Amino acid sequence: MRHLLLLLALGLFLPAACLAQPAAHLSTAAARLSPAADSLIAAGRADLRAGMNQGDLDLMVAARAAFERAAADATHAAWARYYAALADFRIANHLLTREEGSKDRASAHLESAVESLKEVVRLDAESAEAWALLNSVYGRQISLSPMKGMLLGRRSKRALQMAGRLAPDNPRVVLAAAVSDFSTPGMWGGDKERAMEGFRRAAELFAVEEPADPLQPVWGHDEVYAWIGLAHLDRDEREQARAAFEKALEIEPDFGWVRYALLPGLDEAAAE
Amino acid sequence: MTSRVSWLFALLGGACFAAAVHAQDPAVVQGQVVDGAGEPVAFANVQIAGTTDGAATGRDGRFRFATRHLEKREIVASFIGCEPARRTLRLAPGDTASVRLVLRRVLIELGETAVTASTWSTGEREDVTLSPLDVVTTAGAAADIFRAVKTFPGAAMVDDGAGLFVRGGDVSETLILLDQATVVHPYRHESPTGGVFGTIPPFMVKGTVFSTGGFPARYGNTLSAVLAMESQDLPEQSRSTLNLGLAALSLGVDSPVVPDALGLRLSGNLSLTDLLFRVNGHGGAFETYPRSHDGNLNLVYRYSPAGRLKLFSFVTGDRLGVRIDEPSFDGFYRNRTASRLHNLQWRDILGGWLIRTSASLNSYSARRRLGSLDLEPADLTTKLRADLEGGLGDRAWLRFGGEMERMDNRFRGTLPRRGDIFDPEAEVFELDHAFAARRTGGYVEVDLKPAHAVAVNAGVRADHHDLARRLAVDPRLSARWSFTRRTDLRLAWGVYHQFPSPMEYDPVSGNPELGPQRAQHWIAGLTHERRELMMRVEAYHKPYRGLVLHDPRLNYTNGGRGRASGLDLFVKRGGFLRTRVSGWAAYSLLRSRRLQPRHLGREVTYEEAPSPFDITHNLTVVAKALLAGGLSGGLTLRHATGRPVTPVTGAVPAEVGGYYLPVQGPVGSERLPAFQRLDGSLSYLRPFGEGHQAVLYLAASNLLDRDNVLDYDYSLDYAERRPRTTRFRRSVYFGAMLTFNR
Repeated sequence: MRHLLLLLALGLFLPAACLAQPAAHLSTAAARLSPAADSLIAAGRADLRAGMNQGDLDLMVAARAAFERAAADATHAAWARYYAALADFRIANHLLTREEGSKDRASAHLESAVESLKEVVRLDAESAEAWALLNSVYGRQISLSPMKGMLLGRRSKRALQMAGRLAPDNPRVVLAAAVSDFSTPGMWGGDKERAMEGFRRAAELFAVEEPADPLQPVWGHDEVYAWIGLAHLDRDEREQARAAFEKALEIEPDFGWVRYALLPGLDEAAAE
Repeated sequence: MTSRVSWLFALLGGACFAAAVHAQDPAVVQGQVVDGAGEPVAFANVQIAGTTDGAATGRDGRFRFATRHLEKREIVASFIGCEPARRTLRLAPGDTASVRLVLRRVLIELGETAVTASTWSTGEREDVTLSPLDVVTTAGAAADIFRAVKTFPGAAMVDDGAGLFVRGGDVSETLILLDQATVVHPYRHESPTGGVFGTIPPFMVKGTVFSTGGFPARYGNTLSAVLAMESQDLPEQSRSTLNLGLAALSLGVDSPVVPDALGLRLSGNLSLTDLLFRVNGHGGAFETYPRSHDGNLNLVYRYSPAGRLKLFSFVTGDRLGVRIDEPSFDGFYRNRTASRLHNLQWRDILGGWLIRTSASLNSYSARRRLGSLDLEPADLTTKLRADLEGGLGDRAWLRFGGEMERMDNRFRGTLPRRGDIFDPEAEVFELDHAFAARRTGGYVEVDLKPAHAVAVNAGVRADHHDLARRLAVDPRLSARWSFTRRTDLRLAWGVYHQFPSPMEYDPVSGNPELGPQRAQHWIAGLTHERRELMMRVEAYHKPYRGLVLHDPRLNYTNGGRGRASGLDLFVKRGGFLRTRVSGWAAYSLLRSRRLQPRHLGREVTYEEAPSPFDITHNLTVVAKALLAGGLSGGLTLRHATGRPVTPVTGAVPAEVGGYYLPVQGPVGSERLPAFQRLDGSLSYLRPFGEGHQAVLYLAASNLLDRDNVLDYDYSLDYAERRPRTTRFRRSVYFGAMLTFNR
């Protein structure tokens, strides 16, 4: 009898459930089948990192596609667009440094990055990460077309000011400011001494960074040492540069930029 | 019984559960993303719009994903540089839907200069010859587009002016365009060799393309070259500029009235050279120092991401009075001109086709006085032009279009009955003639990429001229083979026609039977690029026939013929602001001969001789350097063989008036002394305030103070010959420009 009641209950409940809440069923099922935006972002981040380390453009482009899909989920749209912009920025850098004649393609990625980041700050005006990355993207655009410096320089500066005001101790904000100081000619406000101080401060901040949100960016710790190395190279301090590059590899042993470009370049220069 | 009932319920429940499970069966979406040529697009993003369901394509462009977002859904494929491709599918549980998505490239990858020969560029992009920055930082260019373009190979240094004489051709053989409109009078202070400056200020122009030959079928009614300018797009920020120089005052305002939608650029320039000539101790010959003014308006309305309406207008005027020493008259030549161009352009992308249309109106009036000559020429040119282009797959790009141009000329005034006798007492005739002509043309071009390293442009155009009553058909072909990553070979061949001006068809003073003039371009060139270095060498042969020739009986005939052959070399290193030292060197070797009249007193014979612009060697070296801080400098060195002149060996008295008629020696048998000029410039840029800039500049022209000979003047009886020399001896020019950004 208990079986009967159980089956009755089951028999009544299931059709009723089927009839009453089909949409709920489907949406729950769909949620299980559809990749969650956060897992798409996590997978994309891993692909982007691997793509950069291996110099694998396809992997970076695939990561960008994952971020683009994740942007369809309104909950994580801001982060998804941020990472799509980061992927565009990385892809553009890859194209410009490794694939000659790809300037137009790289420019298209930088423009896409700007559009994505504008959307991020529209969604969340207090995203210091987005403002800082926007500064870097504008900087790259200026390097491609110095004539644009007159226009983009102001926007770049404004983006950095916003980032600095919102999160003065965010290591990526400090890193962006230092890169800007390092890359900008003195007459336009650049200062290599200030850049070195900024890199060092960023390195300290990276060392203690503990992201509260798993989607929050964590990139940059290895990169800051690459920049410290470059700043030393600029002063012709090769041993300090080497030490900085090695420190970057200590943090990320597969860091492609340092492993395949900066350190070999240093070795070649030493051999000459 | 209990057991049966329980099984019945269990069955019902199970069926319902199965139905529920079946309802949750996903649909599978699979397929391939390809480009217009059917080639797979790797790592494109494919997703169901509004969901995270989707996948990236593999290297073969294929994708497959499951989804429980069923019913009617939109599948979107996207990739940077492409228009997203969309397809709507009806997905049912358990279905497998296959879809093929075709991505169309947004970027034009097979642009004109991908294959066009003889297009010279200082920038990284071949489709822009000069940026405004190139123009204003080239020493000796005086911030003038035309003068800067003259530093490229193929453009001969005939004098100090801005006239573009290209590969042995006359200045009238270069077509000047602005946003599809023909700029009929592109020079300020016009002269037989063009003019002293161009009319369009550099900062109103986004980029300039200069092609010295082998250009494609979209350009018509020109024998030698094309200078195509494109005006600026929407201003991205508010900016005001004030420029105060020794001879000029300029104001400019850029305003994004509605950001990203409506923008306005205005500029006005006033040029008064009195002070310039006085400071430099020249200009004694001027009665009225050269003066000019211009006003420019560029209004852009962007109504969609690709849709633009652009109105570009300029009005310009100039005047001067200068002493002229003619055999028959020693007096002042006075000239004032006014010119206007209004062009309304519309461009958009519709159905994957880029459409550009323009309607333009170009008016011009002048008054020229020299002794017995008092002429008021005026003309009005209206033009409609439409161009369409779009991809036929990724390996082919189709372009076609048409234009209709109407030219109305009017000449009023008095002219000396004998063309070269300007004595105010000489016999004159009254003139009041109006001429009108209409030319209609169309073209079709295709850019093909038959193999990875090969690009071909093939096209044909046809032009009909109502006065000539003839159709001119011009087939053109050019190809580029990139046989290494850095080196390519370019070949081009084409037929080019140019109709005579309307006045030359006049039944009384011209010849209504005139047909179009014709040239052929044969070009072969090699380009090698390596990071900051670019080298290019190009050989060409250009036979002419049907050139308009003066004829004592018929006024004009198409009996002219000739040829130009030569070699152009171009080496470029770095880029201004990108590298500390940058610049380019251009060398042209030219041999150009044409059939020309030789005046032997009252008779005329014809000889094939060096053309008037046969500049055998033409060398230009442009160097720019970032010196320190905001200080930059530049030098431009120019050396050119003197142009051919026909000596006068004697004279015979004219039948009336006591004048003399020249007896010329062999045509082009002498040359002027070599033309040399060294120019320098320094500028200091200082940012101030919140993003504002101040630029102080100093330019030194003709540093070596060369007294370049431009022509010879003769006494009344042709017994005495005097060199006519440049009015641009060593001089300095300085000023400051302030830019305020908001």
